[in-house]
Amino acid sequence: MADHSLIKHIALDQDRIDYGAFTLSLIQEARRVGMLNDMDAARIESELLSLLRAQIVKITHGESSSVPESTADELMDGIGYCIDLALKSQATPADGINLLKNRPVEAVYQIGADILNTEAKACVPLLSRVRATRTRTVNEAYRITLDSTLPGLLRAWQSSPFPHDFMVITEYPLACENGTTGIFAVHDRLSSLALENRFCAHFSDGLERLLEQYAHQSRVSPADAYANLFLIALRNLLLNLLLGRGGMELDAQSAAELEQKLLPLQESQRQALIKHAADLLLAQCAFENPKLDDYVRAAAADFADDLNTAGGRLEPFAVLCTKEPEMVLADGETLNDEDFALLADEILICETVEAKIRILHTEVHSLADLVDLLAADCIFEEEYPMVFDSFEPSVQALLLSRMPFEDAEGKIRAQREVEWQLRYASYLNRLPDSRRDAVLRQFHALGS
Amino acid sequence: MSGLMKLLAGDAGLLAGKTTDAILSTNDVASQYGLSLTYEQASELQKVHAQALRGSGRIEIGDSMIDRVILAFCDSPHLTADNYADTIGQLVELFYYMKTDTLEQIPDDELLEKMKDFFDGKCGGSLELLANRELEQMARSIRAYGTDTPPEETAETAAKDAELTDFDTQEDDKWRTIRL
Repeated sequence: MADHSLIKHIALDQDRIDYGAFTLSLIQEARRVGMLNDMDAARIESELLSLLRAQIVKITHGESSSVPESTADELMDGIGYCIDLALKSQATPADGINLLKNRPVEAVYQIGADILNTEAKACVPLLSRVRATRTRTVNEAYRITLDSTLPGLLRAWQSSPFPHDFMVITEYPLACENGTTGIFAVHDRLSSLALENRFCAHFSDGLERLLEQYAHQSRVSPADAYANLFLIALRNLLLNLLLGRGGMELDAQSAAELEQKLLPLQESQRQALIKHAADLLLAQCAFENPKLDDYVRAAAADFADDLNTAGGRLEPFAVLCTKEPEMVLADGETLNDEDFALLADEILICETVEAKIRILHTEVHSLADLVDLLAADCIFEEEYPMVFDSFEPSVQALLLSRMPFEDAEGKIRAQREVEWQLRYASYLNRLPDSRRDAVLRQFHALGS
Repeated sequence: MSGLMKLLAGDAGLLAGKTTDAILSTNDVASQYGLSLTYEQASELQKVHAQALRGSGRIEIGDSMIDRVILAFCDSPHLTADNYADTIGQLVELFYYMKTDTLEQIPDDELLEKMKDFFDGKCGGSLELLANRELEQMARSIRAYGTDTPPEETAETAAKDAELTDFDTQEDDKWRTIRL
């Protein structure tokens, strides 16, 4: 009779293990190399079935012996997710097989479920900490993520019987996202936010101003800006350190000078410079938090990669301080609805465009009313150029500030299909360059 | 996707449910009403059961419904030795179809009870009336109102319905189409 104990198993072939369907592929591979025999496999299958049955009883309250295939698939995927986690938590795949061989499947499932529950429990105090140390900002994405999305995700997790397909999407972008899923992604986001909050607290004085500048550059409001506060602060701090100074504020001239130095460098040189600046920053800040130090270094390394991708150009990354506005609008009183309607009617029935222009210049005292009248169908198609022409460059610049547009190779293009805006863009494009430039100069001199 | 269902589906025995012998054991009760199944009929019922599950896209774990259908219906005055096996087979098919058609809203026992009441009562033993009239109406009510009996019409609801006559409705097996 053969002594089976002397038979050595062939090692598991790692290439045959699919990490997307870990348990299934591991069982199949273990059977192939003889680490699991037919009896083991039959026991595992039978115990899996018992687990599935228990979950079906749970969701149907014991009132249905059958479920749609899609429901059974989802339940089994949830079971598989927990078992995958338990097996992956072992030191090697062979240890995972030994776990399956020596413990009931339900116990293995429970190991995975416990890993998930531990992670979920750890999220609760972490969320409290993140909210308690929140960065004071007007940014809505940040606020919604902390006050609504993350608490909602934790609630959804607790009520979800199918943890394998748990989607984690937040409004606020993080500096470093590592591609985890499920409750691990929630935990990672919270951990990152805790670190980012700590960093931002160190630079809280200038952060909101920096966000305003970023928003101005991106033509959005600071509340609506899709920006990571930590990242915009870190990048400007690093760039300033490369210029040999501290602080977050960066003016256009300094940025241009720095860019001239960065452009001719090799990628490895740029990486070394950013790394050096990150080390300097960490030394100056002395956070005494190794996790935060690592986070800053990782974000700096990502920044160096992005900078290299852009060939050393700073434009996509640097937040430049805007000059104080040279021209400030002191708007007059806005008409009430009734008076506005009367005025629009009065303009509509004017027999000449000159009469219309006279009313616009004498009766309208606020930019909002002027813009509304331009859109109120009381000025005819052919009259628009003369109306626009009657305004001074400063008023023309103000009108431009009330329409989204792009300046493409010297041509103004309205971004919305609004009649007065399309006609205004067309009017400006027909102006001599010197006059159009004067309007644009005044437009850029306006405060945000 | 864990793919673990494949592992179970690969072993037909695990998901197959009752054996022929288990179905035959219902003869002990059914014989009191002059009904019994032969081995061939029990075996055929097993196939019908498996096909009904496949056809309705369902998975059954644990006790098969065949014996519960048999035990629920064997005292029906409309079952005879001649139509017994065939009728049970059709009732099993109808049962799984209705589970899906009622959006999983009715527990097994309640559905069986209703099927039995309709079959013995309003349908007079007609499977066609059971499937196409009574159960269909019940399923429609569950889909529309969330309950197996439509709300009773009162003067108030009739007036409201009268206001809403500007559309045509059409129904087929699965969908209710409303044209405004």
